[in-house]
Amino acid sequence: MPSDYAKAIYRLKQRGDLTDAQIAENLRLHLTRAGKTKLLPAIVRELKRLSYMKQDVSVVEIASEAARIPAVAAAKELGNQEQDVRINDALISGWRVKTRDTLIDRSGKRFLIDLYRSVTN
Amino acid sequence: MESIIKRIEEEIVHAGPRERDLDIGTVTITGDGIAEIDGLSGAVMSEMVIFDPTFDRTLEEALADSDAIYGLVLNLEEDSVRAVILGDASKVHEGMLVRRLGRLLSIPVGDALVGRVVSALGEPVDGKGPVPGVTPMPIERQAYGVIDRAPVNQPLHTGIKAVDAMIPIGRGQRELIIGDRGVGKTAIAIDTILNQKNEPAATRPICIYVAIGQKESKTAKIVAQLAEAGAMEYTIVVTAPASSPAAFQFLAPFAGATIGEHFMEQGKDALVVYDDLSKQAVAYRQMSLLLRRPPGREAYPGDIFYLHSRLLERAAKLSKEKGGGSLTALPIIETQEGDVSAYIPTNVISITDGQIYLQADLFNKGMRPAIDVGISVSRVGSSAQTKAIKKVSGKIKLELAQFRELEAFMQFASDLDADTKKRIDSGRRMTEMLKQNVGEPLAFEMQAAIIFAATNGFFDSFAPEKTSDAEKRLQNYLLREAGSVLTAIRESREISEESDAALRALLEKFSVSAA
Repeated sequence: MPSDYAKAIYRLKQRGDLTDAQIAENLRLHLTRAGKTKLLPAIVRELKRLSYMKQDVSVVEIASEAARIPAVAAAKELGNQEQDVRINDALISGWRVKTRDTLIDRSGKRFLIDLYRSVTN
Repeated sequence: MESIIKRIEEEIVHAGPRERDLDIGTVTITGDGIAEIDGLSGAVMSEMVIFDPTFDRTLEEALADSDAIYGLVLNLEEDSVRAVILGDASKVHEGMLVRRLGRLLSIPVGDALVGRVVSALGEPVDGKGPVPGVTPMPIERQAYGVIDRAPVNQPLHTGIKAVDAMIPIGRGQRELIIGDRGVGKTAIAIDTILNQKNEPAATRPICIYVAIGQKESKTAKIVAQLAEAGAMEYTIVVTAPASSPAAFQFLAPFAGATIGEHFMEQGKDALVVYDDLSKQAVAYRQMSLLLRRPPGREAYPGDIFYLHSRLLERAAKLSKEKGGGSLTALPIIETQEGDVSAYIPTNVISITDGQIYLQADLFNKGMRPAIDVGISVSRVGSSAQTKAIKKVSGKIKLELAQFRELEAFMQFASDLDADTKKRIDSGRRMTEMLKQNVGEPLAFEMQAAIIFAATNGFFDSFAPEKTSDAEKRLQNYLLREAGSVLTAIRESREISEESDAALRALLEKFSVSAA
């Protein structure tokens, strides 16, 4: 049920008939009348999850600035216009791009882990 | 050391840009062995996925614990998928990366599995090291079609007189063993496995015992019993104990069927025992409820029948064109208070080609094996009997049926006519003759000789209650004195006129000397 409420709220937002404040107030009134105010935290969590799922952002992690250009190019190839670029020392070298359902990993860390597994297995 | 360095050199030289990793997801909710995953938009039903613990860790942390955990996709929903975790569920956490493996769940199979004890995923658990020379085979496979099958006409001897004489099982048949707890269902299955030692090595079936939801101590005891009898030379044990996750108890029977099919497709015979499918049904119910599938009757999911039907349909006798191999299934179902009309028992009864019904009343009265021959049936019937057994067993079922009718009058014994008393005594002798100790299966030629003796009145000189002892003495006598006759029956698989005459002469001698 919280996911159904979250979907309904997301659709209302997309349509733009009501402002965010109006949606929040009307939701609160509805839940109070229906005796379901306890659902509110779960609805908020579901809404956050839904918003994340629907967004079109790539998370780009680079080991150093030298990797920025190829990483951003790969992210653009995935079709996402927005990139959230972060520096991650744990990658050792290279870069990786992650969207909701795709990962491109060209990092030194991935290479070394794969090397270790193939040698030890 | 040098070989490791060389290996690393080769890996580095041949490492090139990896193909891009498609289809990942992120764990959003996890608990009770189930993970809800956001993403994996291309995942298919029953696909394997891998929960990658290295994504969020540094290299040192990743190498210290890089064991991946596998999962099985079982629910495809609008925005997410749900997967069952096949491993340590405590290592799966929210936010963990999940990758598709692009293949269905497979287990490693090979001839080297014989003599080993493995888990539901085919991993050895007997401490004897890895199994060499194995290839992966999908755990869920389509059963063979009608055209690829041949009629079931080769016997699978259980070594139990009551079964081989009146409820004969053929290679490629599904025969259900059903009864309450503690009445000897597992004993029948184990005796069947032990009896395969009496078969010539060329035609001996490979036996697979699948322990589902059993106590580990019970499984260990069974393995020790099989090893002591030399049966582990042709047996594989698949175990998903009571302490294992429900997913393993759900998968174990399919793993057993897959291993059996490996041998069947080589033209060999295989026997698989599922002990027991009631526990598999309970495990599947647990998984389905956690996957939020709608519950049906007794809270079982709507496809509980399909769970067992697709498993048991994989037992088959293949045509000559397909190699002529066979997979015989002995599923076991536990009833509650003898209720064979409950949901799961009726489902499996309708799938199998007959049932061996064990009664708690008979067990408590000392009739062991406690087989109720009146309602036990084999739909394959005498097509799966050797001529020797067929010749001698024709009269038994009728005699026992008449005995049961007359049993009620036994308390009025002094008022009965001679003929009725004779029939009652004959029935009692037959019942006593059919008793057999656990772990003592009999070769079919010995069974034929004993039943021959019983049906031709050679036990009439003994009191009915002494027939069981007399039968044991007869066995020893035949082993000492009738070696050539038994060999002739074994080799020809029938009682010829010469064997008939020789046997009668020996049995006359026995009756006289033992009376």
